[in-house]
Amino acid sequence: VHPIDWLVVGAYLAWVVYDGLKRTRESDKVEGYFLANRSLPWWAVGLSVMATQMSAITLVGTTGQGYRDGLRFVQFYFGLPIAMLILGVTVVPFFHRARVFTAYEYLERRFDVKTRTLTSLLFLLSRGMSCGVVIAAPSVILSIILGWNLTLTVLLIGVPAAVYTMLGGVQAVTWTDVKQMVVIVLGVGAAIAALITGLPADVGLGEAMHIAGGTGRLQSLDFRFSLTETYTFWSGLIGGLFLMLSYFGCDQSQVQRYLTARSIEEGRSSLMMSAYVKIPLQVVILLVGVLVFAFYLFVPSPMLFNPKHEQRMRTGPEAPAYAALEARFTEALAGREAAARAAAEARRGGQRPVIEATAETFRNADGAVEGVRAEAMALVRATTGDLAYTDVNYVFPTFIITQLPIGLIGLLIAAIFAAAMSTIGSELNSLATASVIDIYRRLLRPVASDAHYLAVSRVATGFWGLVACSVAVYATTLGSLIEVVNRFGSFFYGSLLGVFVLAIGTRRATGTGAFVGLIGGMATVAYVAFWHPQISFLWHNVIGAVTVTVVGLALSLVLPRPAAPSR
Amino acid sequence: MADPGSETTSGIGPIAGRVIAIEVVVILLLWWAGAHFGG
Repeated sequence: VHPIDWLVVGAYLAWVVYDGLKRTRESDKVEGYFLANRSLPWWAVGLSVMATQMSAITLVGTTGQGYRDGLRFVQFYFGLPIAMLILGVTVVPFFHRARVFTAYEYLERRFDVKTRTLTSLLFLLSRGMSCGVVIAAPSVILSIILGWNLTLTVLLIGVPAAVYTMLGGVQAVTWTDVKQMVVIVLGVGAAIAALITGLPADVGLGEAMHIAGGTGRLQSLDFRFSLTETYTFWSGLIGGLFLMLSYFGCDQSQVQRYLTARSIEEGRSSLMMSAYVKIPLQVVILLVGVLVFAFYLFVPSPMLFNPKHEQRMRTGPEAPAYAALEARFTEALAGREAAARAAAEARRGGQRPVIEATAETFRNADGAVEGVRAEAMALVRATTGDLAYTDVNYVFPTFIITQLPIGLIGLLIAAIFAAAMSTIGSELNSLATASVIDIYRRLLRPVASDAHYLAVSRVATGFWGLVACSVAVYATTLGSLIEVVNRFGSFFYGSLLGVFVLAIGTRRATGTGAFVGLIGGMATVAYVAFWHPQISFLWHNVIGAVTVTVVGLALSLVLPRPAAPSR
Repeated sequence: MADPGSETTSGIGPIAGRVIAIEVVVILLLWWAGAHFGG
């Protein structure tokens, strides 16, 4: 990395930390620290919502998905706009009027303290772990691609976010999120410009898109109804709807964003920003991946995008077999480039039979390249024993480091940092809120001064920052932990939604019904996940929510109602 | 406990219309891109 790129990354880090720390004086009360005194404009909250959702692994992984599979992944988001509409007329006004700090606090008012405590603890456990993964995933990639020390990379991402969140509270989180979202959009825009200008002079963007489209990468819609396929129109629309309802409506890291809005209207508008913009933004990010594919048709691409594995294969006992594969790969790449240029020329000529013939030749040449790459991946899996190995997450960072000009490399690394830190800040802030409001103030020390709770809130934020960085360092040495964390989250996400459906959507539901329903929902999802692993995780949210709602409502109708109903 | 009254849902109709319209247009554009560039 050139010193100018270091300068860009350093300037970005200094800027966000300074900007975050500026907010410290506006956070001298607990309500200011956690909710910005419910004073923020809708556009800042809306950008914070989007920045929180887009972690570094979303940015890097989505472009990698675009490179490998094309636009299909966008279907995952089809339920999001509808979820935002539903939340805009349900939880946004309910939470706002109830003047709560956390979503789980609302559950005590509606049900009882045990339901509030269980849901809050589940959130703390799941989000505390996943915040570590949010730091670990980009750290592993950046340390491998850039040759940085892994623990230092974890600290470089985690510590600045923890410091400004600890001192500046939600004000720091929101206003740095706004700027980080700008850095991400600038970075993506710069990458698109570099990709388009990086195409050969005689190949236009339209021709490149036609060539990439010939491999099916621009076919984004799959209308098959399948419980086992994650990325179809219906799983995205229905499963995605439940997932987004859970994430934006019941997860404190998102709920806290719109609790800071000035009014119900502004809270709703902040969610509508995602409803309007999220799918087009995801299409653009996936298109970056497709453009990277088109770019590498004319520039030699690595056989493996993970340089650590490439190095290991070249120097290890499998080196001769790997060298033979590399020779075949180079030959296949040359054949594919010639076929791509012929296809582009045929497009310019405009003769239909020639276009079709050259497109077919290109598809075969691309198949040959992918065939050799698949053999190389199989060799890596056999050598390392890592059967799940894939280098999807390394495609975009490798492109950034090896192909972008000086300055833009720094901007794109800053964009990856921004994506990670904006998510980490919101998560640490929400973890501290749930710890202090739902556990410490509610159960351990109900009476104390505001200054005391503010001090405890800062300590709690620092504590969760420490936990997240520790989990990140641990997760990087134990890859399976990432999967465990993701799985745990999917067990309770839909079930949590079911509890809120009972709370907001029904009058008959009781605390005991909701509590037992929640446990039943999580057990059902765990059963499905272990005994029917072929069912896509998107449907787990539907199963969890429906089970909790049905069990909770049935129990509420059967069991005697509490003597003093909480409603 | 607050109830979703008229204030809660007021003005949501036009917003819902715009949100759904944009989603439909984006899906149609994606379908068009697949058909146009994928052929």
